[in-house]
Amino acid sequence: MVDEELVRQALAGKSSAYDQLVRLWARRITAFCHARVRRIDIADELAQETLVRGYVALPTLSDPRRFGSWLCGIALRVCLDWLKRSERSEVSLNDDDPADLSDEDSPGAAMDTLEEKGRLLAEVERLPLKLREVIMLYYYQDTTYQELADLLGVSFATINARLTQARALLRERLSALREL
Amino acid sequence: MTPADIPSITCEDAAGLIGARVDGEIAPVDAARLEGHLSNCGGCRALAEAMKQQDADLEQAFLARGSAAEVNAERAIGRIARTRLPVRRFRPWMTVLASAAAGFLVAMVVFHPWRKVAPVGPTASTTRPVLREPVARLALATGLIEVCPSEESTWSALPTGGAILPGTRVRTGERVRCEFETPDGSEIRLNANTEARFTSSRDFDLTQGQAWSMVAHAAAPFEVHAATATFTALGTQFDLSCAKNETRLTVVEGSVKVNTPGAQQLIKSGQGVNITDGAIGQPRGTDLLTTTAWVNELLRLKGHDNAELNARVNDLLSRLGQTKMEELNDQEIRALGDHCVVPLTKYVQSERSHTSPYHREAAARILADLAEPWSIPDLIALLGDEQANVRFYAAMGLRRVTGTDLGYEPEKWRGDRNAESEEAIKKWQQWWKNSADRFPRAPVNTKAVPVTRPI
Repeated sequence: MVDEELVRQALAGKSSAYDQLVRLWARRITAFCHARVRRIDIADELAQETLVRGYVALPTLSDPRRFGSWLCGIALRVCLDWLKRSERSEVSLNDDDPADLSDEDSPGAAMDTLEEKGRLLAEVERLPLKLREVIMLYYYQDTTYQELADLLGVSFATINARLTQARALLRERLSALREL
Repeated sequence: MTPADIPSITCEDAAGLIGARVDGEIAPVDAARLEGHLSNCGGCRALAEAMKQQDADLEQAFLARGSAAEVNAERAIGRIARTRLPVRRFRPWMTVLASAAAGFLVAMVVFHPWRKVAPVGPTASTTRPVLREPVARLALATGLIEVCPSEESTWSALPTGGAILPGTRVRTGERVRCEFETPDGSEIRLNANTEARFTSSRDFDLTQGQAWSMVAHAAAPFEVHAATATFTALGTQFDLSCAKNETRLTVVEGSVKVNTPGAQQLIKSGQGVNITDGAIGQPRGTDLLTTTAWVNELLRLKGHDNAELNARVNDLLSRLGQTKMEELNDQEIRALGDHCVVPLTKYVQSERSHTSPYHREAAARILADLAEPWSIPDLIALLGDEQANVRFYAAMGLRRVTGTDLGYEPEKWRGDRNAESEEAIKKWQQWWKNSADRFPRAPVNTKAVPVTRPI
């Protein structure tokens, strides 16, 4: 059942409809939060908060077809609030700043004790926001380029380009780590 | 279209198309162009292989995250259900009260009692029953809870959900514990052999025994009266243990003001103090987990993935290796049974646990003994863990729950990761794909408490 219909049912008072929306969107919202705060444990907490706030604010959703984007908007505010509280100003909504490509952490920092999977996740978290966002959204939940494009408000080609760029950067960085 | 008609592409274009092909998003015409390019470009063929492997690695790396997000979804659903509750939380009481009122009116209509005292009908003001608002209701109990209404001397059983009116006395028997919820969201837990009298939703007398109060923030103070002192809080958690001439206060969170006829003192979080014959003793640091361990039995009744229980497991876990009471703490966690599975799993999956291999291993060891069938995907994910003993305990847990090791003995997971172990992980993943339907799904918490701190 599509989001639109579930939203209508939830607004009509069918509580299981919103539960279904939560299950449908939990992975993507967690990915979205993880991309912004770069902390797995916090991402879970913020995603949960987003899903709960979404329930409370559902009557304010004007276009049920845009439920996903609307929920991402809530997630964004929840994440920004958390970042503000924790004074983690290094991550922002549009941080395409090249400085972000050369993080303060040296590539080898904290890597010695982690093996491949941990390294890979850590490197994903170090990607620039727009690249880690698309990588996380893609791998948290099996989804199509078009769904991602609709959610993020960009083109199909942009999704392909970002994924390609993210993967290239990851290969480059992991290869540099292996050579250390 | 013949191969000659297909325009050639550059290596740069090929990189994007290879990604699209790996993701199953390539258009037929682009697939043909890419094939043409790959047949002539060794570099791009190598890149295609590398990207295929990278895609598999990324899928593997995010496998556990996806599962964690699903567990988190159930927690969110539990929280949402709780936000709906206030509307209907006290509906059973309202039903009881409405029934009482209806019964009263029916009795009035049937028996016409006013005729016995007056020849004319009474005015509304003289016949309207006075309905007193309940101050609490029984949320959980491990056995028989008895109540005695105000100005009465007969005790009777109180069912779960039963309402407490002002002035009602409540008592618990041997080995019976219970929890009351008040309309403002506070929770009051009574230990075995305890007696209390509820005056209002934020005021009760503790006559004997032990009570835990989790006080919701409100402008009005929350007061508990014991024989030797009065304890006042605005929003906090504290435990009171009451004997004839002595009361022991332990403050778990926030602060509590102690008032005796001759003294007043503020006791802060983490401190305990004895009040003997009206004299307030010296506040001292106290072992909160031990003092309040009796509430664990009630927390178990609240379902899996209860935030308060999770926090307790994490606190107990953090003590392992730090005190001489290691075995006691280990046993305390195990005593929670399958209720500790979710917090332990979350801990092992958490980023912060990587800074303490000792505690990760301890958590994995307990998981191996207590994991439930719904833990299987998490255990499979842990087979790829970077810590050898975590892999080993995950394999032990899998064998215990599923009855098989798929031909790869747990002990082998202690060795370095290699092609054989990667193959074994793939076998487990495939096995789970084929077998998931045969196993129960993770229990959905029916009484989730909002997470107040990261697990």
